[in-house]
Amino acid sequence: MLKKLADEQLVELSVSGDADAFGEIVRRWERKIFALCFGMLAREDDARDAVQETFISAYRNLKNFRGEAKVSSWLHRIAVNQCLTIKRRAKTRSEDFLDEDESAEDRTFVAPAHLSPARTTEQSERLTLVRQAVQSLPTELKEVVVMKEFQEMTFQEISDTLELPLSTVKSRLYTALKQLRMKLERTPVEVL
Amino acid sequence: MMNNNNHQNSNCAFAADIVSYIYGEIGEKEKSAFESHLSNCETCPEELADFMDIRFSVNDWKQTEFTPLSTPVIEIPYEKEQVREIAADSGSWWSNLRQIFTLSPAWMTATTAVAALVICAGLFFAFYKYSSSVEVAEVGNKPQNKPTVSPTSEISSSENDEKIAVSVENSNSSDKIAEPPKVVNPSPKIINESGYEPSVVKVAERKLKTVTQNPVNRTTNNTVNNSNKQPIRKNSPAKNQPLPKLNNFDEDEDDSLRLAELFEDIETLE
Repeated sequence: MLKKLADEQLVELSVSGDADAFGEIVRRWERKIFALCFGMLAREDDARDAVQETFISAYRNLKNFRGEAKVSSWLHRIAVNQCLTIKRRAKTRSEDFLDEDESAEDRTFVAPAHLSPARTTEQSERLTLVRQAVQSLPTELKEVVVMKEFQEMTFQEISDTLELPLSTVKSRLYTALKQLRMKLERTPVEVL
Repeated sequence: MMNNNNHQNSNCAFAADIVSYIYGEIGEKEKSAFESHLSNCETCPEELADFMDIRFSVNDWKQTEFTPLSTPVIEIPYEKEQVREIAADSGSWWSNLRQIFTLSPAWMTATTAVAALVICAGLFFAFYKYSSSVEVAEVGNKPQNKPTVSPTSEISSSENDEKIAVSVENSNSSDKIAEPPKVVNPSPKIINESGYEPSVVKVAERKLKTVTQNPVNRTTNNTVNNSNKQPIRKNSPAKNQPLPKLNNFDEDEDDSLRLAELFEDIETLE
């Protein structure tokens, strides 16, 4: 029954006190919001915290939701704000995500069994570099890359969610790819 | 990997179509036009290759680190939120107070109750002390209707008769008129019966003594000893009536027994 309803209808039911309706909203969007938070923060624990806080914040502010924007846009804005808050907190704790040594120690990389040790090392280093490069992008560029790659959204969906013109979305993605290209060129990984 | 050539491709008219082409979101007409451009452009093929490589790397990062992760279980505190909303909606101070006691632990409730009891006991004790002091002051000014025998033997019988006569006159006029004789001749017995501090009795006796020693020259006495003011005169309604023996009394002079002076006397005696 609830699965057939639109997001906006579920919000209306949630405002009237229907917890199941909000549960349906959570089920629809939790994976995409988790992907967004993971791409923005590049840490599993932080991403889980951000998702949790996003939906709690959304539930508390259900009454403030106006039908002018889409539910996806509303959740996206809350999630990005939560990610920025968590990043600020991490900075105050002097935890720099771009610290190469710390990142290398903290993150575990499980190598696929079919890859040779040399290939595994190369892939691990490559992943570290890509992760760092994406994290160093400005927020407005990074979110477009994450929405495209992690959330697998179309340009039109990104445009609707961010409430931006389609051309602006494409322009931002093009700029982001160019900056990533430059960042990755500075630290080339040698092919073994 | 990527080359280090100049990648400034902004001047190319097809630069905007690269991302659409990479992600497969380009129309058939634009796609064929772009592909035909690639064979003629020097920079676009390199840029396209680099962008494809970046896209592959980002996607690889996602497939390696994100895809295996399970979706987090979202816990929404529905009940707490409902309680909060109910409290916010009710708004009355009594319901808010009950809410605090309902949600607070037992030890906090017990501590608050004990604190409230201590405060109430303190207030009661303070009020009791205050009312006692007020009663003491009232006893000092209390009119006494018994123009009994003077405690001192120095007063002559004729003088006593005069005072009694005055008191009878005053008692006939009104209730308040009975004050002058009483103050002139306060009964120590009555004061003692009231059970208040002896110091108060002493003060009353001292004032009485001053009056009775020189009943005729009271005005002189009052003038000389301003500190020894007589409480009788001010509160006495007999001031409207000329007293036979007290015609030299200065009506404007405030010779009443002040409460502050009474306390000062008590402190001095103590």
